[in-house]
Amino acid sequence: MTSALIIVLREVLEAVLIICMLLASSSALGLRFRWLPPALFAGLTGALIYALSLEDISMAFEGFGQEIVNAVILLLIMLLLLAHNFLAMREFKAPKIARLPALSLLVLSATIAMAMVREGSEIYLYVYSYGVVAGDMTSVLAGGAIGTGIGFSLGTFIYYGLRTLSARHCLLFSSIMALVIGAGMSSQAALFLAQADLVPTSEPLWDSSALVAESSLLGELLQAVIGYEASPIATQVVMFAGALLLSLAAMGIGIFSVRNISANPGAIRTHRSNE
Amino acid sequence: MTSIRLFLTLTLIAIIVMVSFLSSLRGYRESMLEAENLFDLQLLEHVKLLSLLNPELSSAGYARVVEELLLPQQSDLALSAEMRIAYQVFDPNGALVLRSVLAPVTQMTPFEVGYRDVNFNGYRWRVLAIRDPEQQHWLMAAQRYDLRYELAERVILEAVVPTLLSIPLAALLIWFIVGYGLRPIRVLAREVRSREASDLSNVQLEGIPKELTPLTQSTNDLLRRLQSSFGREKRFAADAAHELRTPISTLKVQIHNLQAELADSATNAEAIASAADLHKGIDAMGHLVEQILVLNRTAPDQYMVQFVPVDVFELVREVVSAEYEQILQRDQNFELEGASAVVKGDATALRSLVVNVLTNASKYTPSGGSILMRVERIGKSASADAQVQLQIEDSGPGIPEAFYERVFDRFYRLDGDRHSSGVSGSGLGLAIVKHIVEMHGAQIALSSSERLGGLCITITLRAFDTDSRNQ
Repeated sequence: MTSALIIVLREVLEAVLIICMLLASSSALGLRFRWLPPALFAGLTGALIYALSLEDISMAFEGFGQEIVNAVILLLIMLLLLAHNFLAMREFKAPKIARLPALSLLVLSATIAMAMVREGSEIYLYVYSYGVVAGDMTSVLAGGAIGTGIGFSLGTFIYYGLRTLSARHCLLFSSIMALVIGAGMSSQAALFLAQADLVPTSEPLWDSSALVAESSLLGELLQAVIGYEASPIATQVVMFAGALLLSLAAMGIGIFSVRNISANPGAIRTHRSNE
Repeated sequence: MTSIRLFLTLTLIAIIVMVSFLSSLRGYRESMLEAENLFDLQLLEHVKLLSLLNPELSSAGYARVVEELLLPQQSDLALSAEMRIAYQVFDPNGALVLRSVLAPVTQMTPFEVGYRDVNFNGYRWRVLAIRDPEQQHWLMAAQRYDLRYELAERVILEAVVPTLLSIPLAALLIWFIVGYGLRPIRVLAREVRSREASDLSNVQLEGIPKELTPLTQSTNDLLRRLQSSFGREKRFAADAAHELRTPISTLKVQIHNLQAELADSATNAEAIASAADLHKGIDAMGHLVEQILVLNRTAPDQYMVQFVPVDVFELVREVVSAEYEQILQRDQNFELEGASAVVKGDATALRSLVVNVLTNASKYTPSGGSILMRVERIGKSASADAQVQLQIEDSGPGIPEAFYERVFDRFYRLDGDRHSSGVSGSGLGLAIVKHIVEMHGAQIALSSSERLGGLCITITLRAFDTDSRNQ
């Protein structure tokens, strides 16, 4: 049961962190939650399709299909989180003036759908392989339920925690979370790409398993949040740092793009007169 | 936080889930450790029993195999049955003298006292080895690890699963309880929402929770301020109109005298025409002031209601007689249909209503046009839902449907100050009609006249049955 709990909790926590953070951002960006059900539905459908066709996917790309698809999904989520940070910083700099509602809807929906595809398919595969095939259903379901429950509880606290902040601070904190989560995903993607021999593999740069073991509860939680790896290879560290820098750059561009609007007072006056 | 109910339900459930699941998890881990100890203890007890066996039962060079004969076959004991203990007894020289069916022919673990995890027969086993201090025999007992784990987990999950299943029930209860707790807010909102527009009295709710008291107090403060400013506004309009009556009457007398003098002197035709225009203007101003006074008097919160039975058909006939001169002047064709129909209402106000709808129709119907008034009773006699319908249709330009609501606003006139028909008016006529309709709990509807092509006003009042009055 404990292993089921840890695996489900890790996957649920990854998804819930992203969903709750984006929901808080959504309300700070002045968007309603109408986009959420279609995005969740698309994500769950995608997860099911991915899980059911995993055998074919695994066979593709000379047997590295699963690693490559996983890496692509993770990198896509990372890029979408970059876009989120860009939008959030525009709103942070000039609330209500520089909104891009259509793009925001697209970014938020796509991020949640992609996160659901990734985490949903992993949970499905785990429950299927250990529960249905190995016949340990009660234990897997109980562990899964506890993991899901704890994940959703944390998500609720995070969501309402962010909502208690002012809209601007909510966006700032969401962006910092997205920054870290995105970097973690980038590092995980690096590992998948290394497994597929698409990026250089090296000896681990360090081994911190004595400090926090990957298989411990804290290790799994850290992996969910920042993509913690006890003994990372150089590529992972480079991609983690690269994603952090890219995300910071996206935030900077977001702020700078609104500065350009501010330089044109006519544009702002037009918007303000509409309020 | 868009919904207090959702916020409270979600956060409370999240707290319950977090606390109960984490404690379940801790309980599970502790119980699993405890179960391990129990199983180890079971092995120890088994070895103790082995030590009591008579060593003479076995002789060197021959290992006796003990068959499993006493096991029940019930399916509910299937797992327990598999939890059989494999055991071996070795003589002081290390030769196997006794073993269970499950135990291998070779020793399960080295001759070292204590618990050890080893693999044989394709499984991982927990083995206890002990040396009998008197006879120096080696006694070994073993259990399959996977079965120990499975049995322990099954027992512990029996305790954990109800906690998991109780969460949806707790969520449902919390949802309803929070909803119940928030009910005073809904009651307060309903109380404020269901009030008549004119009712600005204090909100008074029984058993209001102390958390809502500040809100109720602020609402009541606001209502008091509103009431006093409404009162000031109404008094000002009524007082101003009343005060304007005297100078207007004086003006009317003076313009009458001026016209007489100008007629006598007959010097300037233009001056006579201007005086006539001035007279018209003063009349219009006088009419406006009168209408403002009527509007204030018929405002639902101002009017001292005195309802008496009124025959609407008779009332219409009287009003038509009084206003017939205006209709004749404009060469309009007037028709009245219907029969006696009694309602309970205020005679003066209802007269004002009929005067206003009739003069309104006459004003906007071009010369030579037609006006049709109809009074009819709808519904069975003595039935509670019997109604009296007063309808007035004209062949005027009518009102576009988009403006049906707005024409009841005070001082609102279609196309601004001067109607496209060229007729001037105060813009208060239909506002007065609406006041009187509301005062009587009646309905008013505007539509396009099918017969005459102009406006059709339908006023539906509750019928008053003279028979039921006597009951």
